[in-house]
Amino acid sequence: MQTRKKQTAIRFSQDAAKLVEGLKQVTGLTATGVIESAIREMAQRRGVKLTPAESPVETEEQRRSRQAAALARLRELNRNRPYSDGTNTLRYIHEARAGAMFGYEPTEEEIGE
Amino acid sequence: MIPSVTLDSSLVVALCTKETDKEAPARAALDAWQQQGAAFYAPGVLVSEVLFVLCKKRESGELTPEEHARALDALEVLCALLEPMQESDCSLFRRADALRTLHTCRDCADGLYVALAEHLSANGPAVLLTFDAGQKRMAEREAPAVTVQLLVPTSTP
Repeated sequence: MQTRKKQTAIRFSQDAAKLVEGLKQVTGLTATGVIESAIREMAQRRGVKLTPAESPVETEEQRRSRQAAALARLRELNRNRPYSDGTNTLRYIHEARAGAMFGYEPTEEEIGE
Repeated sequence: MIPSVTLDSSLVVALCTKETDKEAPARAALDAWQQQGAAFYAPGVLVSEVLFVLCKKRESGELTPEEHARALDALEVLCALLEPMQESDCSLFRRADALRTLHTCRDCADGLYVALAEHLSANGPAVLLTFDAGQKRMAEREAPAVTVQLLVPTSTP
């Protein structure tokens, strides 16, 4: 016998409906997926821990949807944006790891390659 | 089995700041692993390191304030890609310290990434994605269970 998930109808304002529709097109998610993803991101950003009942174990499909949404959003953010020079990045990371991010001035030897 | 992919700061900065030579290979690697159904992880220290690098780039003029703000937006998105860690870095620090092969304090932080990837390898295939050859050397010497996918910058975007 097939079971049906309990569903709840939500009424959106026109603006909210447009936002959901726009995100559906960008991410390829369903409306439910868009809303779930938005709630999770907001909870994560604001440090809100959802209770187990509100935050069930993520299914494989939900995990993939969340990843796809994040990668699509990243693609969107980087579209039409200038490239930056990454020459110094590894050096800065090594400086950070050698203590610079805590105010210590590491020597060249400590920074390494 | 779901592959576990640990992201290094070098990859995250490349994506957040859209680096000329690294954004494309970083992006391609992430897309390829996502298509294989991988789960993405990073130690907690990643956020501090990336914030530090972005701040340095802003101070030096490598990023404008607007580009810096967009990089923070991208970091937020990448954080949403990561799986929540069931255990904190507290479960990794002893192994990270043991991996400090070159006896410099910097290696402790490198070790956290390798230790996390090693920890995840107990549950299945685990890979560390990085542009940092030093992490690959560390893993080859001290943590052979870890596969390091060393990304190579490209000459054109």
